[in-house]
Amino acid sequence: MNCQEFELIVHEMAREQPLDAAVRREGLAHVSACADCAGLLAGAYSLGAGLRALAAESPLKEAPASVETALLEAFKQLTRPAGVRRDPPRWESARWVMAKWVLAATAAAVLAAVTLGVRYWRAQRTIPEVQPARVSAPAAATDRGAGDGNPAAHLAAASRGNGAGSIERRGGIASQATPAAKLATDFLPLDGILDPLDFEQAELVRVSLPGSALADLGLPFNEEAETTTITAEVLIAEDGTARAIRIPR
Amino acid sequence: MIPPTLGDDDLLRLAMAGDEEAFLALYRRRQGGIYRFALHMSGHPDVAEEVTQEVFLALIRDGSRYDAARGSVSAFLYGIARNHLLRRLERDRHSVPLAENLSQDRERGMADGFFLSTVDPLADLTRAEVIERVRQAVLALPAAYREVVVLCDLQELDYGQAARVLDCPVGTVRSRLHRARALLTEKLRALRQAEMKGIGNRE
Repeated sequence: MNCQEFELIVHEMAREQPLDAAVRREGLAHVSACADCAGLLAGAYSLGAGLRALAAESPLKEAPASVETALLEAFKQLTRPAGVRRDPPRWESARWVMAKWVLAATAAAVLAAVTLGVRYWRAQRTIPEVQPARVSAPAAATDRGAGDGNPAAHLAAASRGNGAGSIERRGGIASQATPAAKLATDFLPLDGILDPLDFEQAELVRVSLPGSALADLGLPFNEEAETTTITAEVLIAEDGTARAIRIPR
Repeated sequence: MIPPTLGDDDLLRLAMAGDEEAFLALYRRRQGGIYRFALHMSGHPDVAEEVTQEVFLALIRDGSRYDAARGSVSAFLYGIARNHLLRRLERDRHSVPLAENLSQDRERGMADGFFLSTVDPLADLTRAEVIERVRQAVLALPAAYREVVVLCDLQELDYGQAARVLDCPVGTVRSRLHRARALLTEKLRALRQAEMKGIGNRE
């Protein structure tokens, strides 16, 4: 055996590892005649002893208990039987929470838009709740009260709901006005002047008045009409005052 | 109650069926080896802890991929640990002084006469000093040599088991181990030689 061949088996020899008996004998014979290889074998013994010392020190070293705790928690989470809700990992949970908020916000926005749309549509299409109609009739007339023959006074009385008449709000005049063919009169101003601006943003309100109110408007009136109720349409300006009245046929 | 005689394969099978006790038994049986393997490979307890946790998390998730025909549960776990460690070492390559250039080491050793020197690299050292010196020498090995030393010399796996962990032929394990031991001897001798020179200069 030469030095190169000995170098190949030196660690097996030093570690007493299984080695062919003949090869071991040859190795020992080489060492006895070669000082360098004897030193090499001594170094291999020394290294083997050092590695064994390191290995012997290590068994005391183990993973900390916190690892076992974390793994058991993960095991419970990941192996929960099918059908049982699994808590998502933290990152997944955070993403899900964010998604839920986005969904909730979107749903709220859609709901708000639909609600506003419906309310707007209903405001345009339906008769709004009756509000007291303020009548800006001539001061002398307003002080006379209900049933004194002044239509403005009748209107005020009707709006107060005192039995002298009744009010039905009809909404915008453009869409709700009675067709011209069915009108007995045109608009008659209640305070003497009818400004075209009064028709902007105005509302038409249908009211029931005693027939005697016709006389106050300067319209033909007979004794029978006094005991009957007539229907009139009152133009309510944006500021809530009654500006004009007309009588449908 | 899990019988202590139950093998790793059975414990893993039970654990995969949701048996927490079986998982715990398997963990307690194998965590030490995995932790020490990672510790010897990295030199850092925090890395060893992280790798141990990752290995068993992977087992919980992918334990059903274990194939008994390809090796033991232990080898399967070491294999997972090795993959994690190599990724980690690759990532930390620039910050950890893992190895010097092998060929330069060998050439320098031969030129200085260290390799065939009769100087015992660990003579006159206390046990604690021997352990620390060997630990540093092992950590200074390139990863491919370090892992065979850790598996075969420190964890005492046989060549066949190491070959399954490393996914290579047994012959490769043998040759790498031989080369790794030669490198360790050289490194330890170089350290010892430098130390003796230092003492001589002071005197």
